[in-house]
Amino acid sequence: MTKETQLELGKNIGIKKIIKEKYHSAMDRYKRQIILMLVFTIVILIIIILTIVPPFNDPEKRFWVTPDVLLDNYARPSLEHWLGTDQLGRDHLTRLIHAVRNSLGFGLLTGSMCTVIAVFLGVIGPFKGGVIDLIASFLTNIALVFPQIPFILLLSSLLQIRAWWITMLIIGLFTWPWAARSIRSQVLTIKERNFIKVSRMSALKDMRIAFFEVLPNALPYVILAFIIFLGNSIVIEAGIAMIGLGQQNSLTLGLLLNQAVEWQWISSFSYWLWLPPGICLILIYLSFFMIQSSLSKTFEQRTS
Amino acid sequence: MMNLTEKATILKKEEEPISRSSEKNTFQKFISNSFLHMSIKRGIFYFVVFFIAITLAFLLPRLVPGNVLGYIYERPQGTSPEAWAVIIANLEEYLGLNYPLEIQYINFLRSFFFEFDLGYSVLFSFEPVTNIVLRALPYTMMLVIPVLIISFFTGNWIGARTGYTNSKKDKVFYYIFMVLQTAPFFWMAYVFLDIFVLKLNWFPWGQSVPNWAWDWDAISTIFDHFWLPFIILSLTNIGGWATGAHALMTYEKGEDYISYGRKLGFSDNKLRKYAYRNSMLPQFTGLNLRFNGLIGSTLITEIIFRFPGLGYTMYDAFQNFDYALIIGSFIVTILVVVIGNYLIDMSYGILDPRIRVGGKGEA
Repeated sequence: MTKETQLELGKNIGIKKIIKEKYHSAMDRYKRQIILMLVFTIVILIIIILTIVPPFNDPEKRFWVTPDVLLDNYARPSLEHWLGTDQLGRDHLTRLIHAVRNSLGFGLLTGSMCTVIAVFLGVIGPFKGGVIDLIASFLTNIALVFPQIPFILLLSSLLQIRAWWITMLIIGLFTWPWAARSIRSQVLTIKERNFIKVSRMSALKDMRIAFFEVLPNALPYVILAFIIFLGNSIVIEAGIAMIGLGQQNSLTLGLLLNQAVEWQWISSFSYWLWLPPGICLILIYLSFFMIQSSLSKTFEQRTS
Repeated sequence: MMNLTEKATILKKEEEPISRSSEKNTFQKFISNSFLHMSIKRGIFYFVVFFIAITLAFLLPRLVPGNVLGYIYERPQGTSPEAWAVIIANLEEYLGLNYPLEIQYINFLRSFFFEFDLGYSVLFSFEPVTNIVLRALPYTMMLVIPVLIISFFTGNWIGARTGYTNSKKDKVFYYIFMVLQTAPFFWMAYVFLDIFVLKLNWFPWGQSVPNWAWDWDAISTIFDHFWLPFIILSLTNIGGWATGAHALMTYEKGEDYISYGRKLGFSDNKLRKYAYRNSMLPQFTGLNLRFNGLIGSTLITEIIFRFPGLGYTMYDAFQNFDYALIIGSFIVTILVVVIGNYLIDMSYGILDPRIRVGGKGEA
């Protein structure tokens, strides 16, 4: 009994020590990456909090027109309107924050859709084997060299329904392949490890091994892919919407930019209207990109 | 004398089988050469991709309900509906749209593969689509190829330099391009259009781009319209290469041969060149993906700048449901993508010694 308690105590102390050592060694090696990651996560968190907190997130105020539209339209930035007003005298800051929130939500949905497709095709191939593997790898190989943006343009101009879920489906259908390939290669290496052989010997079902044993080990790559998809889908949506082929129902950054083109905010040089959406777009994409790159650097160094 | 001739005949007899066997060996080598093997395999693969893409481009517009000609022509006032229906039916017969879908598809494939005929565009008053598309192709290519080459070399150079030296002067460029890479190019295109065209009047505004001709006036006006999209595309593409090269170079810097060379007294510049050559091979595998992305962004940039390349033609065709023009512009875009990818794969095969020599390396 005493021996067992001693062993347990020893284990506890050992685990704590190991965690401490690992933490310190990680801080020594990846200090730069971790600081970068934290900074840009904080940027993203600030953006998210800004879009949720009450004074900015006022759904009534989005359509709220100033009493004197003719005097107050295209007002320059002032204390009353921090980012000025647009052609209908609407406060631009509240509209911008709504747009950022909707864009982030859109990115979240589209990114998760892409990751689900990529994970499904990347994991199911090596585990089912045979014809299914052939089909899955053939699909990903073809989709990799497929001209994606022409097809996105074609579909979004042919389907004349300007709803956000149409744009989401179109973007989700065409941007997954590279992640499917990288997840597939990860799964192929994990598959050869011993614990997978043990779980095979214990007669677990293939799909159970794939999604409960292998996938948690490939999780870093899945998260990486998800973050890249998040940033990419926000930018692609904005691009399609800016040309005038995107969704028109909910106010996103792309729709704001589209209005900047259509109402000639850009050519009339009302900089307070077209500069902030672009800067927001750059900030969001840059922070996701930096988080992703520093994450991938830490993961890569651990494996090698 | 006799001995010599005998010896000569013996030698000849011995030579013949040797030479035959060596010929056989070279022929067998030629067949089993993994470079040739790879080129044939890749060729078949890309043909399949091309076929699937054109099938999708053929089917998708036709599955959307709606009358094609209704988008372009309206019944003029004063004509009876019956007479108008007859005119429309004649037009459909002329364009080959009155057949069922599968026969239309077979007709399309036959006329494309055997006659290189893509039909007639309704939008461009029944001009053959082949002419329109071939007129638009040079504009896209003059954007894509220089941007690809310039962004590849400058991006790799900047990334490798900053990755090796870690000097602060170089890092400024690196970070500028890294931020520019994340900037949305469509937004930057509009901003540049505003600043340089409307405010500063550096570039012409409100003029159409002339057709390509070997004529100084035409070429100079084309290049006036060409600079802005070119600058934006290259600015946004350099960063991607630079980040990749930077990461590769930081790994390569820690290799043993670099520290050995440094201890032997090689100059830093020379070692950087060696490291550059050794580390840049993986960048060629990224060329495929980036090429596809570049084609897409070129199409969108053309739409923004009204630059009459494939993207702008495609946009016109999509908006007006011009079937023949949609498929025509799509086929050429897909051909550009597929041939570009094939050439990139082949160049990778030539550059990678494992494939070139014919070993069994996996690449």
